[in-house]
Amino acid sequence: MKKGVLEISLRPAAGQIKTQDTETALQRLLSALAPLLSLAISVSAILVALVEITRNDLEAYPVPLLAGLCVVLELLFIDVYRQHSRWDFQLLIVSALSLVFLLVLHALPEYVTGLQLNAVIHRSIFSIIFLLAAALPALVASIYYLLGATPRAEDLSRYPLLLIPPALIISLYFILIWQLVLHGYKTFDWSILLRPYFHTFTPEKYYILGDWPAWRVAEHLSVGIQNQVLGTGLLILLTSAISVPIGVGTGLYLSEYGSGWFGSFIRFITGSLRAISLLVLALAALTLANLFDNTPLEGLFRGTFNNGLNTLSSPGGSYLTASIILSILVIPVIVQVTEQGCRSLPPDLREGSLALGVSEETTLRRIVFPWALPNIITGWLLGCAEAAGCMTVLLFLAPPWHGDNGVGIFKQVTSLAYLVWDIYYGEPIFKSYMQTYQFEAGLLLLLITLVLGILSMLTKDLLAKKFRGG
Amino acid sequence: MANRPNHGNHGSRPEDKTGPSCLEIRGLKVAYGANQVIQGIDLTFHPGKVTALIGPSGCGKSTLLRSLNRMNELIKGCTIEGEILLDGENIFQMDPMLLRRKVGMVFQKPNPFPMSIRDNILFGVEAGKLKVNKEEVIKTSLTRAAIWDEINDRLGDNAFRLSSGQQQRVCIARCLAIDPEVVLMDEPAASLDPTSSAKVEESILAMKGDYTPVIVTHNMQQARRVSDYTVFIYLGKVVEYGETERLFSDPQRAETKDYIAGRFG
Repeated sequence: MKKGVLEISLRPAAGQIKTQDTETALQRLLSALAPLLSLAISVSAILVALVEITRNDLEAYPVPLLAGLCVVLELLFIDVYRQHSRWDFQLLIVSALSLVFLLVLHALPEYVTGLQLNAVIHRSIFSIIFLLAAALPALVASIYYLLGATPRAEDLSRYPLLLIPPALIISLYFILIWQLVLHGYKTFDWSILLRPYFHTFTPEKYYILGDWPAWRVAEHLSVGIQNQVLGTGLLILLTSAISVPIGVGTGLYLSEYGSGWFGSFIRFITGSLRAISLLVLALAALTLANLFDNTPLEGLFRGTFNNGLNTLSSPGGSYLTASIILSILVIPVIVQVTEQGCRSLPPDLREGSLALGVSEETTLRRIVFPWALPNIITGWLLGCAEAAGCMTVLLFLAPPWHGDNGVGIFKQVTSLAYLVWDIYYGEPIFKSYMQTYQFEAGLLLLLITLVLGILSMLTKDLLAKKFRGG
Repeated sequence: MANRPNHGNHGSRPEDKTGPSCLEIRGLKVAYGANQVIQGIDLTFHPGKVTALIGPSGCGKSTLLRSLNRMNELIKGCTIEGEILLDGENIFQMDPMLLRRKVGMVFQKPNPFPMSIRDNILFGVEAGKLKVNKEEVIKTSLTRAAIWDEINDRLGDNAFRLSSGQQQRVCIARCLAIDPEVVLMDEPAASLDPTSSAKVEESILAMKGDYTPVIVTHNMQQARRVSDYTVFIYLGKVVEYGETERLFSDPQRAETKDYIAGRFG
C-alpha cells in the first residue's frame, strides 16, 4: 500500500503539489479502508447467512449487506487499479452479481411457491444462498489484498475456502449429536437401565376356593430396558467371536497367498457381501432362523421367548442367528484391514526373518501378524460399533412381544437399536409407556459407538507403538 | 578358531565339524523371466576367508549372493540352473530353512524387527528351537558385531529406536546368533555413515577364520580393506577372481583394470 502512495507522491507534478497532497490523503484512506470494509462486510454476510439457517426473522439484513458488498467491491476495484495498475475484473463481476442478487431478493415474495416447485419456501433460503455466493469470493479477495497481494497472500486467502468442508462436517455432527444429547438428557432415567424388561401384565397363581390352582394376569407396570442393553453387549461379543477369527484368517490368507484368481474371487465375494442391502440381510436372517425348523437345531436358531409364564412359540430368531448375519457385515471390514495391515509390512522384515531360516508360518505369526494387529483391532472395534447399531438385521428376528425373556445365546434377540425402532412402530401400549425413553436409547447407542471409536483410536496408537516400534 | 562360540549341535551339522564350510558354485545360471542375469558362474569360496564381490550395478552380484541361501526362490519367475555345494551337499536338495541357518544373510538396508534388541537377537534361535545358552549367545553375537559395549545396558529397548548404524550391527548380531557357517552381506555398509561403516567392517574382520563372509560392495576401498579374495563380476560372468591385493594392484583383465580405475561402473 505504502509503495503505491510513495510512487504517486514522488511523481514530479510541478505546480500541482497541493492537489496531489489532498489526493494522496484521500487515496490513503481509500487504500486503508477498502479491503478492511470488504472483509468486515463479507464476514458479517457469511455470519448472517449461517444464522439465517435457523430462523426466518433476519429479513432486514441481507439486502443492505448485499448493497454494501456491491459498493465496497467497486471501491476495492478502483483501489486495486491504482495500487497495482491491474484491472481485477473478478471484483467487478462479484460486485455486479451482488447487485443482481439484491434486485432478485427485493423482487421475491416472502414465500416462494407455485411454478413446478410443489413446495412453499421462505425467502430466507434464497438470501442465504445469495449471501454466501457473494460473500465467499469477496472474503477471499479482501484477505488477498489486505495481505499485500503477494503469492503467499494468495495461498493464505484460499485457506478459508479449504476450511469450509471440514467446518461443515464438524458442525453437522455436533448439531445432530447435540440435539440427541439434549433430548436424551432431559428424560434420562437410570432406573430403566436397572429394570430388566418391559411388561404391563404379570401372571399370578391363585386358587379358586382353595382347590384348583389357576392363572390370571395382574396388571403391573414395569418399564425397563436392561435386556436390550445386555442384548447389545451380547450381540457385540457373539459377532466378534464369529467374525474376528474368520475375518483375520481370510485377511492373512489374502495377504500371503491371495495374488491368484482365488484371492481375487475371495476379495470379490467379501467386497460384494459388504454391499448387500441390509433389508436383504434381514430376509437372510429370517431364512436362517427358519432353516432348521422341525430339526433338533430349531431351538438354537429360532430361539425361545419366555414371558415368565410359558415359552411362546413365535416367529423370530436367536442371538446366534442375528450374530451370524451381522458377521456378514463385519467380516469384510476385518478382512480388508487385516490384508492392508499385512501388506504395510516392509518386505525387508519378512525377508530378514526368512533369511534366518525361520519358517513362513513362524514369520507370519511373529512378524506379519503383530505388525497388522493395530489395524485389526481398529477394524474389529468399528465392526463392533456396526453390530451394535444395526437394527435392520433384527427386524424380522426380534419377537413381537415384550416380557421376561432375559438374554442368552439361544434366546430371541433384541437390542438398543431395535428398541428405538420398536418404540416408534411397536405395540401401542409399549409405545405409550416407552416413548419418553426413545432418545435415552439412542443416546446409549451413541455412547457405545463413541466409546468403541475412542478405544479403537487409543489402542491403535498404543499397539502401533508396541508392535511397530513407532 | 579357538574363540568360536560353541553353540552346540545345530540341526544336521555333524558334531565333529566346527570349522567354516566350503562353498562351491558349479555352472550357476539364474534368470528372472527372460532376463538371464547370471550366465554360468563357477566359483569356490575359501573357507574362513573374506570374499568380496565387486562389479558395476546390474552385473548380478546381488543375485549371485541371494542364490547362495536360496532367497531368490522367493521371487516369482526366477529360474536357477547349475548347482551350489555346501560341504559337498547340493543346497538345492537341502531344506531351505536348514540351509539358511547355515548360510546367514545381512541386507543392505538395516531391517531389525520391531521388538526389543534381545528378542531380535534371539529370534532365529527361538524360531529354530536351538538349544543354546541364550544370555551367552546375546553377548557373543553382539560382541562380534562390535556393538556390545554400546547397548549392553539397554537390551530391552526397541531395536527400531537405534541409529541406523547400530541397527545394522544388531542385524549382523542377529545373523551370527544362529551360528551360520557362511555369512552373506549385501552391501552392508552402503546406507551407513563412515563411522558406522568402519564398525561394520570391524565386525566383518572379526568373523574371519570362524565364518566365511561373502560381501557384495560398491566401495572398492572397502573391498580392499576387509577382503582376502575378490571376485570381479561383469555382465553375469566372473571376469577375474583372485587374492585382493593381487587383483587390485595387478589386474589381469582389461575390464577389471578399467573398473578398478573407475572408468565405468
